[in-house]
Amino acid sequence: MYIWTNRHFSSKPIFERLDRCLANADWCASFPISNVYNMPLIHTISDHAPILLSMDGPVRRIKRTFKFENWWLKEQDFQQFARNEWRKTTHISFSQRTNKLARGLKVWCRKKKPLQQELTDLEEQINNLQMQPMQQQNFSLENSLVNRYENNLTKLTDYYMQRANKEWIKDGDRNTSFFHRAIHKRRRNNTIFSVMDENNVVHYMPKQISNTFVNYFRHIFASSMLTLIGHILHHNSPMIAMSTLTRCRTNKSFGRHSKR
Amino acid sequence: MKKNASPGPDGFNVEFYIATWSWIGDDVINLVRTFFIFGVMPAHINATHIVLIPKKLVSMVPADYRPIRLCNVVYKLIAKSLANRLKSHLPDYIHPSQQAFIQGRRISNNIIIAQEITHSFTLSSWKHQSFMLKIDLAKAFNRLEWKFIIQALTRKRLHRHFINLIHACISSLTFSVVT
Repeated sequence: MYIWTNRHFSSKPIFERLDRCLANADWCASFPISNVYNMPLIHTISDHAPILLSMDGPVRRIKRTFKFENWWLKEQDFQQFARNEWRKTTHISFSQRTNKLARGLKVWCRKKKPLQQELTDLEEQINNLQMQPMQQQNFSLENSLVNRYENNLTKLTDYYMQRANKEWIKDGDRNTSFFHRAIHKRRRNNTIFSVMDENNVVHYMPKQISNTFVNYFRHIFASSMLTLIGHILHHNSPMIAMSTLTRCRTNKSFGRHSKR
Repeated sequence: MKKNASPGPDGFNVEFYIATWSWIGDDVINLVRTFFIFGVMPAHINATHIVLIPKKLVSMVPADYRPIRLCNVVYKLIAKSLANRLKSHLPDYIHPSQQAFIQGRRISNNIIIAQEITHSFTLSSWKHQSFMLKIDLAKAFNRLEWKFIIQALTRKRLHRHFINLIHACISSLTFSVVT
């Protein structure tokens, strides 16, 4: 893809990609659905192709499917709650039971304070406590708050780890702003803004994009060569081709050495 | 099984099963055991999400995405145990020229062989007329015909029940594409 050319097509053509959009992480965070498009180059108007930055696209409202959060395991009431939910449903099938449990956990986690908010609250409480005059300080309370803070930070790390998908992060790395960026970049890279279908029509709307993919996979996974199978199995043709190849190798590379 | 792998459609990852094994383990074991006895896949166990991973910086057509499949952990338990049974016999079933996906063989071996062959073509001692074909094959293992798999396994004289189990796995699969 080029966006500038000197149009010396017969002698020394140069095709370059000069114009780009550059944004820092903060900007990307503020405009999560922004996208850059390169438009066709019309040389009678300009020797540069127009570059279009669109800051909002079709709003994608993605239905959030249930995903287990690893930090839930660190919640004190998790085990008991989940076990009780599980034991309530012995009469139905396994997949129905996991569905029920998922639904239960969804409600359960809604009662939890968001991790980030809990962290700020705790920070404030610790700060207030430490502002008190020396003789009025409650060290045991401070200690327990610090422990809770520490605990919360670990949960938050779990939360980010699960999303950032960086395997080389060790337990205890808590560079949350780094995680944040990694997650954001991953999401951007993985978001499908447009797709071209088999008739070379480009689709931008989420609904049409998903239809294109479904059709594509339906085509791939559908059975197509039933008649051929029996043929291959009877004649064993792929095997014959393969053995000629190996014979070729034995003759040449090993035979050569033995001749010497 | 990778601990931090993304969960399948039911949303529960490996980490969850490890942490709750003390009270969920019996039910999981029961499910897997029942499958191995009767060869019937319970509903929705092997529902699968297909997630699209862009292969290129700028992906245009559906083929520019690598589809990866996310299965439920319980299904993976079943599939893994079947695969492990088969694993030790694979070297006997698969021709030595096929190097990929078998423990102890490496795809790079075939690259070296190909290099050796092209090299031998240039030698003065090579007297034959020869040519090479380079064929770009799309990844095939996701698209095998069921009937082909079953016929191939039958020809290898695998136990009827084992083949039935494999058939139960592949024929009950349902996909949904996540975009």
